[in-house]
Amino acid sequence: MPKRTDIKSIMLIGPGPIIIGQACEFDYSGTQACKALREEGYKVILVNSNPATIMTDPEMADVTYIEPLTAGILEMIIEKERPDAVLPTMGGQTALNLAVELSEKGVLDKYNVEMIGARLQAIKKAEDRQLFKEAMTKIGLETPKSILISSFDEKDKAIEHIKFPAILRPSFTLGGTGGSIAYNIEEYNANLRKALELSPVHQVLIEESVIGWKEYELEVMRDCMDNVVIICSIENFDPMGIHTGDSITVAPAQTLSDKEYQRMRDASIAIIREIGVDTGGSNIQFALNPDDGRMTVIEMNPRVSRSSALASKATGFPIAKIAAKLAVGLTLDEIPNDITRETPASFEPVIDYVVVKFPRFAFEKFPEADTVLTTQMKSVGESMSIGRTFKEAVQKAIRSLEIESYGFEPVKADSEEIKAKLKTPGWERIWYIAHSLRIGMGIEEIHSLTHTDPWFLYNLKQIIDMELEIMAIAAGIKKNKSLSLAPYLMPPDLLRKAKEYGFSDRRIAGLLDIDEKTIRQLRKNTGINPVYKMVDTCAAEFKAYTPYMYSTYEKPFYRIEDKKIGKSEDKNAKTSKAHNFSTSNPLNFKPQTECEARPTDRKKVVILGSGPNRIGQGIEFDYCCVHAVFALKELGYETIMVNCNPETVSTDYDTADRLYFEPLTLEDVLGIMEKEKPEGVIVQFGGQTPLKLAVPLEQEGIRILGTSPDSIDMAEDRKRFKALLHKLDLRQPESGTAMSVNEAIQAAKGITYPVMVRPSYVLGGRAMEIVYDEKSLKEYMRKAVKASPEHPVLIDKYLEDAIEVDVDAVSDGADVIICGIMEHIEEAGIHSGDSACSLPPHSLPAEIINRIREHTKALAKEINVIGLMNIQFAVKGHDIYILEVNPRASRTIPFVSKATGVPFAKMAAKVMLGISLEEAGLTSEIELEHMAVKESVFPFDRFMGVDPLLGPEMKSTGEVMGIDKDFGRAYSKAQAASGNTMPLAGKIFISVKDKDKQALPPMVSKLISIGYPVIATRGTAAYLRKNGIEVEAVNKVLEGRPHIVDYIKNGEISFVINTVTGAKAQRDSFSIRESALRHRVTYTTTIAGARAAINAMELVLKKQISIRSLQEYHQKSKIIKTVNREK
Amino acid sequence: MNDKERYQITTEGDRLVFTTVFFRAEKESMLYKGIYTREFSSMLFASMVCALVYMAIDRVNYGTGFLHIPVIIIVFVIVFLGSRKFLFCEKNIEVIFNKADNTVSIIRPVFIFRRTEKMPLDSISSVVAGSKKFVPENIDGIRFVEKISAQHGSFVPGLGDEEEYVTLSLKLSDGTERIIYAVRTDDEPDIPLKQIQRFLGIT
Repeated sequence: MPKRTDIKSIMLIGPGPIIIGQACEFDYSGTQACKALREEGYKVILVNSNPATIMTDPEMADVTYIEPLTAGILEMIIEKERPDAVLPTMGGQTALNLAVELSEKGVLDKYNVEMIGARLQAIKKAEDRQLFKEAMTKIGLETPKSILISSFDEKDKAIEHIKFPAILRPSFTLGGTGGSIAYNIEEYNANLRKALELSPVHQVLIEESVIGWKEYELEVMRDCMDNVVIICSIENFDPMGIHTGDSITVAPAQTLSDKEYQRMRDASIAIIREIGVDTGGSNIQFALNPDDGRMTVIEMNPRVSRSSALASKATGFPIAKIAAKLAVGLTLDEIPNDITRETPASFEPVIDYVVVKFPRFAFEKFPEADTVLTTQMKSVGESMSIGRTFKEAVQKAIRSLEIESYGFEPVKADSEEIKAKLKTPGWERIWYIAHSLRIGMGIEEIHSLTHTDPWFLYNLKQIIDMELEIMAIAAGIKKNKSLSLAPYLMPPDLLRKAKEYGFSDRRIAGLLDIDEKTIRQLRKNTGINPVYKMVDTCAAEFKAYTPYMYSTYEKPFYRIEDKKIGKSEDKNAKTSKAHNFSTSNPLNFKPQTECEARPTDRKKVVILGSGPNRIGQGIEFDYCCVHAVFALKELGYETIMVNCNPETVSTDYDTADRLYFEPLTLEDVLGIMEKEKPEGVIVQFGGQTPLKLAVPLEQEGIRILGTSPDSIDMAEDRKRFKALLHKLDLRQPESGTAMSVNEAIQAAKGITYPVMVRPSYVLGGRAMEIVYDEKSLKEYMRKAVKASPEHPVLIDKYLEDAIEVDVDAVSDGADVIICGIMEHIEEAGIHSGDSACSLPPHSLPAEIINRIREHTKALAKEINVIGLMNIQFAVKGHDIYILEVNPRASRTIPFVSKATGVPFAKMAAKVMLGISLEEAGLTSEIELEHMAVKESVFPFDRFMGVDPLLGPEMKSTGEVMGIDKDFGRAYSKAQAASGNTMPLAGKIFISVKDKDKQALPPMVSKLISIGYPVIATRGTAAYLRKNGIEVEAVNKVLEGRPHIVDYIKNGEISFVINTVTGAKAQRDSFSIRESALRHRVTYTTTIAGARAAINAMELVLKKQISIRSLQEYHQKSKIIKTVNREK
Repeated sequence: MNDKERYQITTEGDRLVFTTVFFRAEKESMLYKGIYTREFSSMLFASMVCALVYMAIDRVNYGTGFLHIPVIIIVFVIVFLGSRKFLFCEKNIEVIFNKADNTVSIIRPVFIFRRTEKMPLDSISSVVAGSKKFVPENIDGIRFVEKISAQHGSFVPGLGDEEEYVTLSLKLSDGTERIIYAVRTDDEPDIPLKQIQRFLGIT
């Protein structure tokens, strides 16, 4: 069937910011959809609020809007652009919910816009729990017993029918938000209230518990001619009861019998037909009772999902791209498979390897959060790995996580503790399972505690048995005190087997108590090297054209014994009998497995990606890596991407010329380097992950492109950096180092309070605190850290009321161009990743900005930056302090690029290959006629009990951008996009710490003058009264009822301004912030944030919000004529 | 060349031409082993052509009649014999050592075409006889595949069998080698090593 010609333009709705449950997989799917639709000749109008995405690159769609994802804004865009159709299935639950809202409000009918990809009826049938249940019953499929309730009053009736434990599933939420398991009436009542609040339609399904059943997912696609294909089956290692996003998952399903699989397959086809998803992909989840084989359908997502991205990467089948083409009328048999070039999309993928996805959590950032895994997703990212066996893939997945785990290291726990950890699912349960096997617990006992399928447990046991075998050698080494002989005591066939089981060199070295390099050398000497196999969608049945590879140490089915006859050849003879290790001829053990990598002779560059998403290192770095690929392709280089994050655009098979889906560890990266022999490697774009490999790679003789590792060290080493600033006559906040509590007290006295303290051995602002007096410092030293000469505590002067400024610049070694100067909204002390910022600065004087420019250039030249750099300044009065210099891509680069229209990451990549800035077309700084504001998005709603106060430790998962003619409107848009809509009416509640009170009078006066009534706690109200401003006073929670939380719960408050200091005040006011969060009341916890919000509220009331596409903004930006280069 | 004569060597002045159909030292395809013979492939092809001819006659004559059958039989025989001889013919490798212009040409079949690799004669550093043996290594894997195929009511012929080839290869000065003759060691194969070495003057 030919593509549709009655539609010419299609509006694509993006997913918005990265949040838990909706990460960058939708950037991947949106990007693919944009490419696919434009390839078919359609005009694509893209709307998304997240600037750190490839899909919002101006080249990706015909028209791009970075605007808040609200029905109102979307209507404005529809009115302006008049698309013929809207495709909502690529932007996750956000896009789907918006499309439903637009349709129900009649907007789509009003402008004659057709919803393609999934019809409204199909979406409702799949998303509405009751309709879905009815549909399943109609086609004879079982769903867990359940009752849908729409109000709290119906709770008793429901639980009588279902019994405990009961699963609560709110309708139309993403990532299982609000979902929980209730084991008793108390939990049931509390969780139900929350779930009803969180469901946009206030519906909750109370469902029979199938905890402990096996969980499966099938990815299904259907076209308008009713052809259906199953793309992939996925099995959860963890049984039912844990959100699939938090489960370790394995593809293809490993423990299903053929009969069970065929039943599931038939059911999936029946479901997609019954629900009516007629052009696109769906994800269907099943639960299977291991005792009697009873199969129930859990849910269906009538859209591209997180699992679709995983299935795409696992099979090589581009689900989003195909789904977009199906949405415009093409059929599966008409769409060619890019990988084989001869099979159509109707050819179901077949895989001859095992894929393991491992979730990445960030509980260390939220110590108060409940770490038990339930039906609500809590992970912030994931890694994926591919191996020939489950054992190999799972061990690769573990080392891909970058949590300093290189295998199943032992855990410190007694047997009772282990049993408790096995029974209650937590993120580290698999390590406890491994340890329980290590201490001799039986498979059956572990199965009864965890409900993990015995097949997986036996595999883990094989790994542990292998460990014990290696450790027996280690014991021999220690006994004989023959450490130098250690490598020779490890038999090559055992080493080979350990590698086949996925053991990393580092883990083997750890077990033998020797260093990793020795194992690497031993491996090389004995010819035990990885081979690379291709992900080809067809299990080698057809030739694959896209080199998408993974490493393996698989044992070949056949060993080739190649014998030559003749004098000169005899010495090379290799025989199967030569397995015994011999130091004189270590090459005699060499089974041969085919390597499918086949490197080319082209000039090539390897780009190291950023690994799994986490707080502090997210999609922004993937954006930079993808731009590096684009740049190098333009320069004619072959690009080789190495990454292990299945959600990203960088791991799409058609982004780089060659893709290695591998862990980002020294061992795995070196293996690729040895195979490919590139001209160099780029480590600057993937954040800390590749950066920490720079020195080890250089030591192995690999050329690091761009800023040298020595220059990076100059910026990171405190002493060298201090000397550098001294040389350039630049200021830095006073600082000191302490090895003990007394030293810390002395240092703080010298620096003067307040000071910022942090341990030297953690990254990302962890355990960092602002300390105002000696008592608090002692408390911090006692509780938070153990200072020692190996682990000193760093003490810096905290610059109170300073304005923090982020600067991104690019340098080719001769010229330095400022990409953007961003003024933070929140004061210095809030982690830069959590702070909102404006580009260009909204309040800094020109003189300060010029000095910042000069400082940036001086630093770039002195450090000899080649590529990107980011500097954080603090401005206090007329003084400028340097806080930090990072000679690498920063997380603000995508934001700056979107605001200015200049792809700086791409430019920087070219510069790193020797192209000058001038040759790259970048000769001067860009002057903006508009304002862009970046705002951070936080996961506090996922971690009830966690205080949403901001501090030096980063907690945000994503970001949004607001762009408009002035700061107020841009800020307001940024807030709306982050879910913090500026109220246009209603009471404003204020409760601030003493230090912030002096800033209040002008702000409150402004609020009152623009018509907002203000209510404040007694202390704040008294201060305002003293300054001549009358406001209503309200009780704090501890002062009796009615108190402020009652007001919030009753919906009387529209905006909360709450700043606190000290642990007690923080505890006392926690309920205010928590209830604001729960009842979706806009709030700010900084005085600077409040000031910006009030300005925005004033402007929004006076002026109309306008929309303009990114392409229109960029056309209007003009280049500053004053050249900022210094030659 | 018959089964016993696995290769042919002809010498004309400064030229030695070595021809053989046995040049692949690879483990045979397990799944299609013994199925896609030249005869079976020719039969399939002839049947397909017959079907087309039948449809064409049917369309032209507006109906089928008795005469069609002999026509189809004749077509089948001709196409079968023709495709067996030309399309599914035995693919051979031809190696021409030419002292006159100091070249060696290795002409290999690629589907129905032939590809020639030409190089200087002195790039051959030696002519080597050897053996290539495929020994089952991953016994567990082989047993697993056998188990799964048994569950599906079939078996994979030859899986897990040891195969050994005697090979004759040209070792080149760049370290690579070209296998020009490879024959199973089921009986005692004759290897033309000395003849080629003598011609090239390499010992």
